[in-house]
Amino acid sequence: MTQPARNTGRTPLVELDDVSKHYGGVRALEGVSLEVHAGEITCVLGDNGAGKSTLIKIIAGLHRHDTGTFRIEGEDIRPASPREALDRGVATVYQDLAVVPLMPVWRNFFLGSEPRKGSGPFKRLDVGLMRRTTRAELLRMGIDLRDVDQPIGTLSGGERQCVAIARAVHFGAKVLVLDEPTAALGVKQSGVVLKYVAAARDAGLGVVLITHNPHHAYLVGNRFVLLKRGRTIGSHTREEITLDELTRQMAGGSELDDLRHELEGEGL
Amino acid sequence: MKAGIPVVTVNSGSEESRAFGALTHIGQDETIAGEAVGDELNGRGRKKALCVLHEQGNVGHEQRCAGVRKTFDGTVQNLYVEGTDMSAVQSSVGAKLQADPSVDAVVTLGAPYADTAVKAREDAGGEAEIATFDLNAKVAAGLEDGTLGFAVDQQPYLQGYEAVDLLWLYRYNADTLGGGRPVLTGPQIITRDQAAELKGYAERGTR
Amino acid sequence: MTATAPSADERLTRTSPLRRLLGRPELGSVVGALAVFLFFALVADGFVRAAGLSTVLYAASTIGIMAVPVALLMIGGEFDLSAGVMVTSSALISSMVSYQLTANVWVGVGVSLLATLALGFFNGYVLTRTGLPSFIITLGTFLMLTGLNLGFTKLISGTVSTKTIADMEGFSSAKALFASVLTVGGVDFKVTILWWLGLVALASWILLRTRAGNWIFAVGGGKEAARAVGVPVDATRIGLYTGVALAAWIAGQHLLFSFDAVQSGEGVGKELTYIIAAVIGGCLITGGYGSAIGSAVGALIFGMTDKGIVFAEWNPDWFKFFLGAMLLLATLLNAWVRKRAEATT
Repeated sequence: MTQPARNTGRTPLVELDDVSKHYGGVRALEGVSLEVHAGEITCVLGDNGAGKSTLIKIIAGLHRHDTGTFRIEGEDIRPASPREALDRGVATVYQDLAVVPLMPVWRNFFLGSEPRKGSGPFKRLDVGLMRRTTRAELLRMGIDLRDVDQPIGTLSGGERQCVAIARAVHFGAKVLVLDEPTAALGVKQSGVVLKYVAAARDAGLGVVLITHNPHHAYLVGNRFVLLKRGRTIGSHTREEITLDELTRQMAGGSELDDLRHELEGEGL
Repeated sequence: MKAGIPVVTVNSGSEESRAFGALTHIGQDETIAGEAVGDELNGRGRKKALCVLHEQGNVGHEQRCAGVRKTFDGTVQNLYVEGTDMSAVQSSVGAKLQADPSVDAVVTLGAPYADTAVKAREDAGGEAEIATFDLNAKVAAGLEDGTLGFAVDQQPYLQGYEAVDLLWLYRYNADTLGGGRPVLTGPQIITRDQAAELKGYAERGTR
Repeated sequence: MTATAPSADERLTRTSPLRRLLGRPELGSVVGALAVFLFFALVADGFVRAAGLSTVLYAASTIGIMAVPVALLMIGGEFDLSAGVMVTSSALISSMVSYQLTANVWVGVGVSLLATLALGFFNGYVLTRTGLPSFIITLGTFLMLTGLNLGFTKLISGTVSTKTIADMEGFSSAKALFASVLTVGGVDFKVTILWWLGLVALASWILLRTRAGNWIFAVGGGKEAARAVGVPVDATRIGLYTGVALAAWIAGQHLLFSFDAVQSGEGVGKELTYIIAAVIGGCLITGGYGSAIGSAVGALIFGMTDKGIVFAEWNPDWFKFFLGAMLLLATLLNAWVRKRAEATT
């Protein structure tokens, strides 16, 4: 197992250093380390049960880690709530919890951060601003919605993810954490999402991309961390690894070779 | 009763009481009470009565209205209202009075509903006479000041009192009352004349 | 990666007023209300006369006052089965506190406000702490309140209804606020209609123009998504239940100052009526969609049907059947209209 490469001189936006998390007797994460830098994408790869969702919950502030250090911009923290993580600039986009389907796009866009005007008991939503901004921000990311009033559930899965990403970018997220954004999408929609992820990176954000698809990861990633059963089995930068090797490691590495021998040997 | 405990039934169920093996039944026969109301309305020259049932499906209520229909010379119409919602009772009775201004008598089947019917009459206008079954302090006051025409009292306090009294007598002296028939505590028509006297008793909760 | 910016103004005006109208949740119910109104206007004498309409509006308003917060709660994804008896509890508390403990009715009214809000808070608090379905929790509260209503009334007043407080100080002013009659153009209108319209306006504003409203939609439509973006889900739900309690207090004071003596068994069954009014008005039972105006239209349909049948002088034995059939028809019409509207947008 190679040591995580350190980018000397630059403080990572988000850093997990030997972090562990246990749920009762279950060891969800054990000694996991990763770095996310501004303008870079760190991909976290692993199969089901590898601990990816636990990892994302810790970074998002939903759960607290048990041991190790969690640093945001060099500061040790243990966030008490998603609100706290958000306030520190960590925006998380969940695979299935991104948006509220029945609500219009513009309401979803500003959910939790609604701009208001007026004062006292007459404080009200700045609806005009919300509508205009939503259209403009989506346009900036390349989505041209004719009607921001349509329920967000009427958008395709990829478009919904993009709205969520555009939302995170707009609200000044410094770090974007994406939980399997392409998992439920077809090839074309996945492409759309990955383009926006790249756009976010180009805008100066740091991105943590959780995925089980090494091809998607390799398209956009700068660093790759492989998880298996809660442990890190590999941590590489783009320069250090090829797509084939990444795929092989993900699919089980030597275990896959054993399986092949077993299946061939039995003459199946 | 199978265990040999003497039983006296009160209030409703006079037909079933004997079949069950009760010693006697003390109450008011709903049909007879209704008939008394019908007679009283005749005496007051009424032509069209509204019978307000606040619990749809209540057999006693149906018997009362049927009794009125039996003796009343004019027509009786049933109106079902939602007894658990006083506002709805008020608006329903009010609507009926507006829809049919020829109604000149309203009969409610419970003391609280009399006051509601009075308010409905205020809403709808007109001068329908309001009568009710059962008595309470407000009904007594209404009889006194003329907003209510008359009330039919079944004397529920007496029912409970007599039931215990009779059980004691049965134990003490093997006495039974009624000769196999129910003992009637009503109907008793209460008008303005008796109202003043009864008001105090109604306020203390025994009438 | 760039995209050519379209002429923004031209695009925005394309969401024409008509299209906006068709997309509103209460559209179907308005059509249903018109249908019911026309039906009874034709079939029943006196229905369209001013006095008749006043009666119908009164009937609608006593349902409507409660249907508004129940609708908001439903949009927020929850139910309150204790709403019906809470009204009675509020009235009972006012009455008995006034009679037994004080010289002025307003003190009882004030105590009742605090107590009723506490009941609402309790519902919300138990929900957020236990995570049990609100249906179950409020069913429990409903049963408890029904028992308390009866038990306390008998304990304190000796009978199943409270003593009259009409001769107490403050009664007339309280009655003026909660149970008076306003004469407009020669026709009497009960003040509950004003309370109702006021609540509808306030609730609409909260729902559509404040961030709390955005939170309500989000909590009902996707609780976990809302929580993840920092919406205070628990506070929103507790707030919604407290809203139901506030309306219950208003409705309870009306009950008390209108009828003076409060029957302890009142309110049982009304909770379903409020829910029906909200659903007829376009609120999704599963949450996340609906409007306060819709609840008002639903209450209106209920009031029109309920009194329309009386005005039409149909055979009273079949009353409940007619009521149910008309409500079902109104709801089906509502759903059909919404489907058509969605197909064209």
